[in-house]
Parts: sequence; structure tokens; C-alpha cells
Amino acid sequence: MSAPKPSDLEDEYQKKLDYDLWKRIFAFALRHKNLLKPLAFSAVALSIVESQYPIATKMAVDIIQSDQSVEALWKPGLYFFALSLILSILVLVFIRCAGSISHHISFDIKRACFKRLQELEFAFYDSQPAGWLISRLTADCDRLSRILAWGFLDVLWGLCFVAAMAITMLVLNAKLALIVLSTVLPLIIISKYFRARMLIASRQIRKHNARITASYSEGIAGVKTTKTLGGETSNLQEFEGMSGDMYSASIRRALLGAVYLPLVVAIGAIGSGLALWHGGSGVLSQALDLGTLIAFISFAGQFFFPINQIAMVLAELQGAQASGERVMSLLATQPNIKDSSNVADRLNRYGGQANESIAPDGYDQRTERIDFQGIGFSYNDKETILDDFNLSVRRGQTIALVGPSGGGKSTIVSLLSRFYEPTQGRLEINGIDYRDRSLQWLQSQLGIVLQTPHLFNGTVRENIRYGRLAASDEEIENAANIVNASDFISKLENGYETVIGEGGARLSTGERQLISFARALLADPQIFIMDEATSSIDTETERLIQEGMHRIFDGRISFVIAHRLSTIRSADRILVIEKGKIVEQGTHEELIESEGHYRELYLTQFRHERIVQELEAG
Amino acid sequence: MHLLLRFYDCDSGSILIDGHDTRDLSRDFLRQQFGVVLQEPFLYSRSILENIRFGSFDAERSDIERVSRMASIHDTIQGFSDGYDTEIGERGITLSGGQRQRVALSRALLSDPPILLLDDALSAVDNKTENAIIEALKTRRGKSVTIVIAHRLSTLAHADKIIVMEKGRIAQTGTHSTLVNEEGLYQRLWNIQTRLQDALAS
Repeated sequence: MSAPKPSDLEDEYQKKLDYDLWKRIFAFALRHKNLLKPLAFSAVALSIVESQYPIATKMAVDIIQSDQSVEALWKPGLYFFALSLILSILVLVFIRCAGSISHHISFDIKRACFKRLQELEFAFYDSQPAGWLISRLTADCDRLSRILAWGFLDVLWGLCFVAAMAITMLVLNAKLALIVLSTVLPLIIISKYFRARMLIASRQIRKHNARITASYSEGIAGVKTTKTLGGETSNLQEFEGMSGDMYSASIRRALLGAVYLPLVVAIGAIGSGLALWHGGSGVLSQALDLGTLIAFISFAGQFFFPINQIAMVLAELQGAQASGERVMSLLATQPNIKDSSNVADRLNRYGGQANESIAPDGYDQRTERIDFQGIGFSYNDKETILDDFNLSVRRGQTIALVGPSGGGKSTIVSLLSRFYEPTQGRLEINGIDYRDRSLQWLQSQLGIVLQTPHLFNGTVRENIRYGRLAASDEEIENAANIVNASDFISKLENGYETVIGEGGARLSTGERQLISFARALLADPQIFIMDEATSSIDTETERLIQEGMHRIFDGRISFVIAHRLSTIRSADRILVIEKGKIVEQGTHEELIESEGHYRELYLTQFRHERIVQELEAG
Repeated sequence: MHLLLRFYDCDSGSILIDGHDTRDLSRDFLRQQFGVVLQEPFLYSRSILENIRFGSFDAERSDIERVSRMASIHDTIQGFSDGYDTEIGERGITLSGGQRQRVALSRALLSDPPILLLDDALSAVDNKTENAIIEALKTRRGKSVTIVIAHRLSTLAHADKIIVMEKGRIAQTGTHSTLVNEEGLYQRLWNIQTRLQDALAS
């Protein structure tokens, strides 16, 4: 899936409106009846009030015509004033309601999407480019909420306004009314035609603009490469092509606008002309009073506004349909990895008890052993990542996973974390298939430290506390102390209150890792998973990390995707993983003896580390 | 390297190519003589094919596949769902550091430049693949100059001339065999490697 090209937009707007889809989307608005009702009321009332303005004019003309004194004009004056007062109150009401509904709907849709995105497993994110998906969703949600609230208002107001004017005219003079109303149909057709095209053109301009911006930023980021390849001319040509597209789209939009407005104004004028022609003779023959004629002339000029508005909303609905489809299909996606009904039953039965040695799903809280039994895995049923993988680990053991990238190391820990489920074989915790255990329980027992740990925008203290939100300040500092993080933290400008993460103090990879250790330790997980950083870390920090790491390993089941020799050497068991299989396993000494893959890997890494040290020293 | 390509001009002294000062050559001509691969290469948000073809736009498909094979990336590309037409970057797939380096190498090789400049350009590629690439690059020997900047000694051992730089000055020059027998940084680095093997052997 990729972002649509500007030219694809045309197809998007040609689609028929999917009423069923919009009904489901409109359900989000229906949740806010307390706002929707006053909104509907104000839209209807507003249209009726607005349709009565020509009547005020008619009253004034009638008074002047009937030789009454000028003072009698207070009546239409008051009428006019009253209409305006009600109008402004109604406008206030609808702006408040529509604005507030729009935000509520946006909040609801985003929350529903966010919840679903959290429930979905990693496999979903593999098939969707996450960045694009999420940015689209944000834009989609905003677009839908806007169109639901304001579109609803505009359509309701527009329809009622047309109806109110039509009824008022029919009451005043049926024959003249029908003549004026004959202009409505061409107005509808023309508005619909132009509005859709104008909207497409506007969107195209925006897309072209976005592409031009992207091209600028790529041009700047890639300047060195472009220059070494001598690609300046071709880049310039491409840029000219893009700004050319932008130019023609802008011209098209301007042309459409230039034709549309005069056209609809002309139709209004034809309506007024027809009214004057037919009504004028009526006035001369005294069959019609002048006030009514003047009212009709101004009615005829006003049909353009509501019809234009409705056409605009319909065009937007059409354009937003793709947004609606994306959001609704996301909400309809069910997570594949979730608690089975069996587990749900157990959670209901055992969930409430206070016994700490029993997990919420009724099994033992304590994890004694983990068994991988004949596990196979492939991401897309094509390429086999893991094949017949067997491993048994006891509490207190540390397993180092080594081997080339793409060999399956990360897959093993992803399966253990149940981010994915094995496509073959069983993964057992204390002898029970982990698909029969609660997902939430398992994942709360995991402490995971990634290569480049994600630190949130907040203080050091907040970042550590994320491991266990209920932890006291003392516990936080204690954890930092155990993993050797307290020394460098106390040297930071504001100690534990120093703001880190995006836009905060810059920390080295080693320091980030130490903070994430403290965070992991605070959570006190039974299973600790670590993806060791490959980037070089100075010798002193490395020593601190090693010590801290081993204090975490103590008494847990630990899996380390290891890159550093000291980590690898100290593991209870080293697994050399290649092409989804364990090619060698044993302790460091055993594996060096056997003179196989491990020895080769070890030598390469040893050389690398020593050379880096030598270069650093020089 | 920046001076060589005239991203900057030298403050003193001059660089001569076949006797001509680089400042007297047209910048376009100068840069056409080079194929450059950086340690963190920049790839455009386009298809792999377009990325490799960038700079030599009229290249034949067969040439593109030939240079991809030299850079040991052809099979990897074939493994992607859209092959050479796979989009990379924001709207497509993300390549690993080593894959990016190899795509950039193919791109540099495509124009068959007289001077190939590899600025630590194989740092993210594993040893085995690196050896294959070096073997492939040897076919260019005699036809063109290859300048390699690297930390890994295995990358350098095949070079006709190795220059050891320390603090902006040339500390040593020579071939692998002369430098190994000369006291200095190169020997120290090399010894780390051999002594280790002895230590393990005993």
C-alpha cells in the first residue's frame, strides 16, 4: 500500500456514495444526541428565520405603497431586528454544537482506532507500513469528524432553507413560485458538477504541494549523493515536472471557480428576471402587489447558497469515503493473538483472588521452566524462519543467542513474548502450552530491553517509573543503584529530574541502556529479554552495563541476543542460530573446543573489539 | 575525500589528476570521474532500480544486474516481492545498513568510474559478503583506481598501497606485507589478530 498519486484522486471522487458505510460512520455522531438535537434544531430554525428576510422587505414596501404614515415602518423594522437577533443566537448555538460534536467524534474515533491498534499483533504491522497508516488515520479521523458535524449541519440547513423558501413563495403566490422554482434544478446539476471538480482540483494542488515539499527535503538531505553522482540536472527536471503539475492544477482550479460562480449567479438573475417579467405584468394589472414581487426577486437570488453548500458537502462525502473505509476496516479487524475462550473462562473463575502465588488465569504465578517444542515459524507461510526449534530453559538460567542477522534470533524472542505465535509446535510454560495462559499475564512477566531503548519525553525518574507506575521514589533510586545507573544520573544537570527523550538531554547509547535496565528491574519480570547494542560503548560504561546486566539476570530466565564477548562468555548456554536452527550449543569453553561456527564468530568479534580499543587508545 | 571531490578546496597545496590541478577541471567532469560510496549512503525514496540507475540514466537492465551481482545484492533484490521495482524509503520497504551500502555500491559501479571511492562503505556488510565483493572488485584492477577507507584490516589487506593516517598526517605507507613488518599502528592492529589466534591455538 502506498500513498495515492494526485491523479488517482479522480477515481476516488467518481465512486458512488456508499450509504451503508456512512450509516455506520454516522453512528459515531448519534452517540452525542445531547449535542446533535440542539444542532438539528438550530439548523432547521435558522433556515426558517433566514427564509423570512424577504418578508420583512415585502412588509416595508406594502406599507409605503398603502399610503400609511412613515412611522408605520416600525413594524417591518422590528420584524427585521427580531429576525436578526434570533439568527445570531442560533448561529452561536450551532457553532458551539457543531464544533463540540466534531471534537467528540474525532476523540471517539481516534480512541477506538488506538485501542484496536494496541490489540493488534505484530503481524498486522508487518503487512502495513505503520508510519503511513498512522498518519493517514490521524488525518482520516479529523476529516470524518469534521464532515460528520459540519456536513450534517450544512445539509440539514440547506434542505430546510430551500423548503422554507419554497413554501413561503407558494403561500404568497403559487404560479410565480413555480416559475422561480424552475431554476432550482439547473442550479443543482451545475453545482454538483462544478463542486466535485473544484474539490478534486484543490486536493490535487495540496498533494502536488506536499510532493514539492518532500522533494525539497530529499534534495537537501541527499545533496552529497546527488553531487557525487552528478544528478543535479535530472533532479531539477523532475522538480520542474512537479511544479508544472502544480501549476496546471492551480490553473484548472481557478478556471473552474471562474466559470462556476458567474454561472450560478446568472441562473439566480434569470430567476429574478422571470419573476419580474411574469410578476411585473401582474403588478401593472394590479393582480399582484409590489412587495410580493420584490420578495420573489430576492428569493430567486438566494437559492444558490443552500444548493452550493449541499453540493460541496456531497463532494466532500465522496472524497472522504476512502477515509471512512480505512477507519471502518481497521475497526473491523480482529486481533489474531488473543486469549482463547478457555482462558477467558479461567480468568473469570480465578481472576479475583488475592493469593499471590496464583496467576489471574489460575495457574502458578512462578515460572519455573520454558520449553520450546519443535517450534516452526514463518511470517507469510512462504519463507521458513524457524524450523523444528527445541530448547528447555530453567529459572535462573541465561541463554545467549548468537549468529548472523536474519538467522532467527529475534524471532525466538518475539515468539517467547507472544508477539507472534509459532506456526508449528508448542511453547510451554511450566509444561502448559502458553496459548492456554493469559496473554496479559505473560506479557506482564516480561522485561524487555531493546538495542536502542525507547525513552519517553520526560524526566529520568518518570522514565524509570514506567516499569512499575506504583513504585516509590526510593524504589526507583534503588533500582538505578543496582544496575549502576545512579552514578551517571547524579552527574546530570538536574539528577533524576533531568528531562530526557526527544528534545531532552542527549544520552549515550550506554546511558540509555542503563536507564532501561533500571526500568526493567523495577518491573521485576520473571523473564528478561535483551537485545544487546552493537554500537561501540566506551570500556568503562561497558563494565557498568555488564555488572548491571548480571544483577538483573539473577533468579530469572534470561534471553540475550548477544553481541559482546563478555556477555556471551558468561551465559549458561550459548545457542548459535543460523537459518532458523540451532547449529551449535553449549558453554563458551565447550564451543571453543569444538572448533566450529562459534569459534569463528568469536574470533571475528574478538578482533573487532580489540581493534576498536586500539584505535580509541591511539 | 571531500577535497578530492572538491566539496571543499584545500587551504594549501593542490591535488593533481593526471597532472591537472583539480581546480582547473570542470566540477561536473571531475565528479564524473568518481564513483563514491559513503558509510551511511543516501537512497532516494524511489524504486531500487531508479536508485541504482541514478546518475547513469540510460543504463541497460543487464548492466544494472551485472553491477548488482558485483555488489552481492542481486539475489537479495530478487527476493523482494517487486524485485528491482520495489520502492524504498518512506513509501516502501526499509533496507538494512549493509543492504543500503550494497545498493549504493551498485550505483557507484554502474557508471564504470575511473576512480572508485569507498568511504568505510562496507562497514555494515558481514565478512563473507565483504570477501565476495572484494573478489568481484578485483576484476576492475588495472582499469581503474579504487580508494578504500576502512577500519577492518581484512578489507585493506589486498590493496596495492595502504596509507595509515594519524591526526591528519600520513603515518605510514606501504603494502600489507611491508607494513606488517614495520613498527606502528598497522602492525599493532595486525598483531591483535594473529596473537589471538596463537593464544587460542595453544
